[in-house]
Amino acid sequence: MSYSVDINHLSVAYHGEWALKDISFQAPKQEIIGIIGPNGAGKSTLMKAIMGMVTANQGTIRVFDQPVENVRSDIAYVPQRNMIDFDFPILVEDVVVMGRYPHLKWWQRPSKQDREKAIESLRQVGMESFRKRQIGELSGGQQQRVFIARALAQEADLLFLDEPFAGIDLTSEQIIIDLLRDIRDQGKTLFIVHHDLSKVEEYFDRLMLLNQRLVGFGQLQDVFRANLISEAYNGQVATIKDSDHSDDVVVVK
Amino acid sequence: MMENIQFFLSGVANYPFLQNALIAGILVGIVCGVVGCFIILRGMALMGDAISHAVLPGVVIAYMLGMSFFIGAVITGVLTALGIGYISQNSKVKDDSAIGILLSGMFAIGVILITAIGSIEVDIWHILFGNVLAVSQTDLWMTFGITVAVIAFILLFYKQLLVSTFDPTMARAIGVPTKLIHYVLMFILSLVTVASLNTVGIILVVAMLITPGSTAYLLTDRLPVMLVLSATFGVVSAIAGVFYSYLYDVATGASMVIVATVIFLLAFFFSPKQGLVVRWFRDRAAQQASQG
Repeated sequence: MSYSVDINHLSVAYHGEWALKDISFQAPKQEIIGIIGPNGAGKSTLMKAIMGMVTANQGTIRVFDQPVENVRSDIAYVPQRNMIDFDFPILVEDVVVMGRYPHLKWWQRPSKQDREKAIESLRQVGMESFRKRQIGELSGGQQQRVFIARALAQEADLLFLDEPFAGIDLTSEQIIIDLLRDIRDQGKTLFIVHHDLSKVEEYFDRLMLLNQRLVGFGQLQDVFRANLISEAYNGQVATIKDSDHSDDVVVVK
Repeated sequence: MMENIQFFLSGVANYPFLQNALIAGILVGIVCGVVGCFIILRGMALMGDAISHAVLPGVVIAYMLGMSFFIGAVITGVLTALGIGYISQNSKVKDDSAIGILLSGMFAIGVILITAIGSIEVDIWHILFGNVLAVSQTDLWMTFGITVAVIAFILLFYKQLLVSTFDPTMARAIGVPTKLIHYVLMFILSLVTVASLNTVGIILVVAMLITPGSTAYLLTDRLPVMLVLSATFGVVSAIAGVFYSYLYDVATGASMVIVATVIFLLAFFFSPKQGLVVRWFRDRAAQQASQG
């Protein structure tokens, strides 16, 4: 069995403090995997480690059975929206063309085919008619779709999305999750950093609970459980027993 | 006005120093305009100010050792950039404070050195505010060389500069050396300061970096257009600056900066998309429309 991401005993420290401690997991391909945990749980660090942007103090990371350096162009990143300067003088189309950069030599300019690929990706996310707009003229949900189009233009098989639903209205959220399912059904693997517990069961095929160490990783019904969530969130949750269905309802304080 | 222009043109035709001043000004307008766009978009305006000031001790030491200004300026410029990064990464002192500390510290060292050597050949006024009458043939070639090299670099690495400025995380994920690009830009800032030394001087060079670029930023949504517009405003400011300084016998660098500032203010008030005046009219029209 080959995995999308295979991590063994990964530990990462920042300024002498552990951000991640002894993480091991094997993630299958073609799934939407949610990474959940409180602030400072190391969600971003884990993502950055898999993308080869943070050096591991211990452990090994393999992506599609290879070291990260060999598969960089196969990994796409969709940034958290508040990390982007939306006043930047750039058109929607040019943002998506950036997805082609990993396929170009350092001196090469994007070709006509690269541009066509970008437009095709915009069409796939339903944003083609916005391609000549400046990126800041779009709504939050539309901006998110543009960055997803950029990942599509990259033709990456592994996608990392950092809080893609933060600050986005419900309609857009539904459009985006449908889009992400389409992408999964095309054979791609998606990791999504998510902070909200409410939609977890609806959105993810597999769940990772993180709080510096790996609290749980696996099928939803095995991991999305009150005791594990409470453990990941350091007990900062209330559990309410639903008498009719005997299901645990979890509310994060 | 026509008379003044004729007076200026005949001056240009007759005096080599004026020709040199004009060419140097145009080159500085181009190179500062282009580099300035990236400085603005990366939020490094203050950094530009720091590097240009930090060049002073390098220039003086180079003079004392009989070396080229060029080498001294680049060494202290880049050392300052490294120092700022080191302080903000290894303490809780914020970036802008680290910049302020090293900017003034380096500048003070330069001033002390100048007063200590008490030379009449190194005129602090000229280093600080430029001395465009003294632009030699050698200076001109150096400025030309720096301009060509910097523009070639930006054209060659446009893609990497764009992605690392717009989305640094993606840039790192796809293997673009973002730290290296940062320090190359600091190196370029030192070069540009040296290139501008005679024309605008250390104190005002930051205006030639930031002002034309900001004007262009108000007028376009595309980086390639912003680069061209910014260089154009830089050149216009340079030519008009040399013109007014010749006409009224005032400091050239300061005249260039004033022209650049006036162009910026025009764009700020009247630009079709973001101009204050245009926005006011639009809001009023909308208000009247809503009132029926």
